[in-house]
Amino acid sequence: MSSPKNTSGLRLRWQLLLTLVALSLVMFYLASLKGAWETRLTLEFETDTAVSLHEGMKVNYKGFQIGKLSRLGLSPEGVVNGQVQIREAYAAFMTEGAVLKVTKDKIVTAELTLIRDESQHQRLSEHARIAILREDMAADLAKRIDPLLVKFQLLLNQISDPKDGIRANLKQSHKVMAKTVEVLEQSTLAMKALSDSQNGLPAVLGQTRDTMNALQPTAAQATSTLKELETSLVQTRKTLDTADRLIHNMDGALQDVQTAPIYRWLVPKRNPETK
Amino acid sequence: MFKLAHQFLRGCGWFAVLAGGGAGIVFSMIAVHESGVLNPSIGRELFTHVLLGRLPTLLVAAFVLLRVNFQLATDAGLARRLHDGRQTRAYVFACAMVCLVAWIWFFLSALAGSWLGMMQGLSGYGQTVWESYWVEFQYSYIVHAGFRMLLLAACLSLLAFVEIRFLQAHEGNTHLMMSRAMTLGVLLIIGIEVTDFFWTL
Repeated sequence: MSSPKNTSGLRLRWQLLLTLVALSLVMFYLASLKGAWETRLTLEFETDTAVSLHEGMKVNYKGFQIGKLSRLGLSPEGVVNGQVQIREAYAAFMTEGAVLKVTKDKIVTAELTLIRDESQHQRLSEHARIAILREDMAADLAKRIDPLLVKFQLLLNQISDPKDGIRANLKQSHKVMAKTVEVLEQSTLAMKALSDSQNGLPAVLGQTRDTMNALQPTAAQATSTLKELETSLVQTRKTLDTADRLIHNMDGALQDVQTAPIYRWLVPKRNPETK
Repeated sequence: MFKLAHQFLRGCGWFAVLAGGGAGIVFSMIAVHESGVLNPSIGRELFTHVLLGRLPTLLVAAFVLLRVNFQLATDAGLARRLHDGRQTRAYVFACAMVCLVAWIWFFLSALAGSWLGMMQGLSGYGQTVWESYWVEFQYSYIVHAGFRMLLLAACLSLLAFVEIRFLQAHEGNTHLMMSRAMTLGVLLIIGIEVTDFFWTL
C-alpha cells in the first residue's frame, strides 16, 4: 500500500505530465494555425538600401498577409540582399512581373505590398528574383495630395457657378435684404401712427380708461339694485307660497262644504240622465 | 518535496483554471458583443498583451504569494519543520514550481474560455473569429511572458527562502513574517511587471 507522500508525488508527476502534454498540443495547434509546417515559396531580392526594411516584415496583398521578409543582409560587395517567404496558399499570386513595393500606410511601420502584372500568369519558381520598388517621397506626397486638389477644384467650380454659386446667392440675399428694409420702413410708419399722442393707441387707451371710470358708479348702483330686487324676489316667492297654501286650503274647505249633507240637501246632485 | 508542491497546487490550480477561464469568457463575450463596444484592433491587442500576457503572470504570482504565506501562517507543523530546517528546499521548490504550473493552467484556461466565449457569443460560428485573433500573434509574446513568470517564480522562491531564514531567527512570529512577506512580495511582483512593461515599450 502506497504512503500519502508517494501518492502526492505520483499525482503531481501526472499533473505535470498532463500539463506539458496539453501545452504542447495547444502550441502545435497554434503553430499549424499560423502555417508553421507548410512549405513556402522562397524568393530572393537585391536592393540599394535596407532603409524601411527589417526581418519579419509583412508581405501583403490586397490587405492580406501572404508572407514575410525572412532574411536581410549586406554582402561584402556592398549589396543589400534578402529573402521573402510566401505561404503556400498564396504562392500562386507570385507571377512573372510581380514586384514588392515598400509602402508606409501606417505611421511607424512599413510593409511590403505585392504589385502584380495581371497580364502574366507564369508562376515564379523557387529562389527566383523579385524586384523591390520604392516610392520617392515627392511622388508619394503628390499621390496623397492629388485627391485633395481635385476636391478643392470641384469646390471652386461650385462656388463660381452662375446659378448656384456664391455670386448668385449673394444677389438673392441682396434682394431679400432690400425687401426686408422696405417692410421694416412700413412697420416703422405703422408704429409711429400707433404711437401718436392725439389719435394713436395711447389716446384710445386713455379714453377707454375714462369711460371705465365713469361706468364704475353706475355698475355699483346696478349691483345694489339687483341685490334689492333679489330680496323682493325672495319675499314675492314667500308670498306666492303662502297664497298657494291658502288656495289649497280653500279648495279643501270647498270640497268639504260640497260633500256636507246640508249642502247636498240644498243643492242635490245633478242627475246624469237630465243632461 | 512533492507533497508540499501538490498541496500548494491544489488551491492555486483551481484559482488558475477558474480565473483564467472566466477572464477568457468575459473577454470574448465583450469582444464579439453586437454593440461593438470593443474595437476589433484594440480587442486583438488586449487578447495578446493582457489576456495572454500580463494578466496570467500578475494574478498567478499574487495568488501563489497569498497561498504560500497563508499556508505558513496557519500550518503550525509546517512552520515547525521550516524552523528546524527540514523542509526549506521543498518549500522553495514548491513556490517556483507552483508558479509555473499555475501559469500554464491559467494560460490554457484563458484560451479555452476565450474560445467558448466566442462560440457562445457568435452562436457557434466563433471558430473563424477566434482563429483571426492569432494572425497578428507572435510566439515571442508567449516566450516573453514565460520568462517573466520564470523571473517572478525565482523571486518568490527567494522571498520564501528569506522568509524561512527570518522564521528560523524569530520563531513564533509567523503573523509578523506573513505581513512583511506579503508587502515585499506585492512590491516585487508590481516592480517586475512595471519594469517589464517599460522595458518592452
